[in-house]
Amino acid sequence: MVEAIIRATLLGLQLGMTLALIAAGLTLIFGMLDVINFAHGALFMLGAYLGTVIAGQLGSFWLALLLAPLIVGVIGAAIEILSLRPLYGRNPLYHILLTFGIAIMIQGAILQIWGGQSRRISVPEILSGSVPIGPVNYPLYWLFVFAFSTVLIGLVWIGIERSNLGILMRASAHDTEMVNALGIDVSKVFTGVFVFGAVLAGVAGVLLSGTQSVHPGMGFNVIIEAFIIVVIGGLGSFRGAVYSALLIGLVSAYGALIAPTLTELFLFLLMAVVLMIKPSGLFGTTEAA
Amino acid sequence: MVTVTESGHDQGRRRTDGGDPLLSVDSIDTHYGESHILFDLSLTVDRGDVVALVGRNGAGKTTTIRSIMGLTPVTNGQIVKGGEQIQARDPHEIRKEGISWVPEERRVFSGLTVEENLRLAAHSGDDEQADQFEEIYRRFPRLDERRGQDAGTMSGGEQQMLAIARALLGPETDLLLLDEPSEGLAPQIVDDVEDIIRELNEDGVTILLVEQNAEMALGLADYAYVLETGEIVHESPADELATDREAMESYLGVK
Repeated sequence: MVEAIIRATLLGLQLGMTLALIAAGLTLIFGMLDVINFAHGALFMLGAYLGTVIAGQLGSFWLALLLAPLIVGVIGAAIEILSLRPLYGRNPLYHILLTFGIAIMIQGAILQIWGGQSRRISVPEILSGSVPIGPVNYPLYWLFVFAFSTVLIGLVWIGIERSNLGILMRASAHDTEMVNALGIDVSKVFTGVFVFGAVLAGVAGVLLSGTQSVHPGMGFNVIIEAFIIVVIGGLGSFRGAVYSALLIGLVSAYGALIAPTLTELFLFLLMAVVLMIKPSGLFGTTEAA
Repeated sequence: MVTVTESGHDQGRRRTDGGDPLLSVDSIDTHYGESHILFDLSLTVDRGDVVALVGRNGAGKTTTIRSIMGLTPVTNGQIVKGGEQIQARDPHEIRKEGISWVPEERRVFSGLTVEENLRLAAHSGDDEQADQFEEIYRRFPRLDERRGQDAGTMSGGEQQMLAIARALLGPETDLLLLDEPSEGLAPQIVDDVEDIIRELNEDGVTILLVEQNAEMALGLADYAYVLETGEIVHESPADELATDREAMESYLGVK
């Protein structure tokens, strides 16, 4: 019993931190661009596929972890500049339709190119095997995923709190028009934020392709979880997304322990309860980012 | 002595008495979606002047400022600043032409500290900006005391100072658009803001001042325009308007 709890806790933390990478991009894009990006899950999935393919072709997990997110970032730039940009200031429904369409297109392209069968990335030698944590033998790769995600989220957090770029991001989330009038080209900030979110999703995709199977449905699965996280954390709040992702990760892991078939129900229940108590989410006040 | 110009087509160009126009707004029309807000509006701001734009609530004063700043683009006419047409440009480009905007209700970035607000306006932490920063803190000692404070938690007067300071950092500012700087401030604080505006003008900043508080605006201004439902209905030197009881009462409801 203790063993199972420890294992679920570790798993929950790891899942939560990786989900935070996805949710962070989603919430920042919403906070700044006012776009609900349904294509975010597809970008995550693209990262996973590109990661497995690159790792397979070049024989290096590390190169895959570097290159796949960058390619996803370039695709993100194309999506923002070519399709989202002409729609800013219009009815948000356009963005929903557009990004939903893009998600379907990416999924279709993946099916065309790589087919429907499941894949998995080959984990590097140095990260294979497992380590004893108390009574539990825990896979080393999963620990690596947790550590890597945590460091990355920590760096992003510090960046948003401290750097000039972070100030710019928080200010843009608060009042885009004012930032523009101060002489800052907000359209470049928008592209930057979208690309940044896409890269983070790509990283998450590569990381998770070593812990779960890579298949064409994973994009839509993850977008639902990511949205629950963002809503619970408070739309547009980076801090909220991180805390809420950890919460969701843990609830999923413990839920799988208690009643595996009801895990999703627990997530929706949690969201309903949070929204009843605090309709703007845990950190969804006037505070931005 | 009394100069009451009827609404006509050659307004705004009247004032070519050796003035050096820094900004010329020429027959602009502006719409918000379907609604037509500004009609064939023209005005001129001479270099070194304080020009007041007064009028009742909803007359189109804020829209005029927003049109100049490129925030609500004009649908017709042109705006010329320092010899260049700016009416089709994006606000961030217009800012680089030396025009700076202090919006209604200040719109400081709450959630950011005073220092962060200013760093954002300065665009960077460059060395040459360091001097600019120190000068701003010298000019606004209250902001110096509150560098680390969340801008949203400051008083209205302090936020107004921050909004003005923010407008002075970054690309050089020679034309300041001030929208209702006295709004919601205690009379004592309004005096402070008046002093700041006067000092800035003495230091060479040209100012276009939009105010509900006509008395304050006309006290500061060299020249004044009166706006009514999107049209200029009167223009004259500010002191002439201030002493013209009839005009003050009919246009501004001041007795």
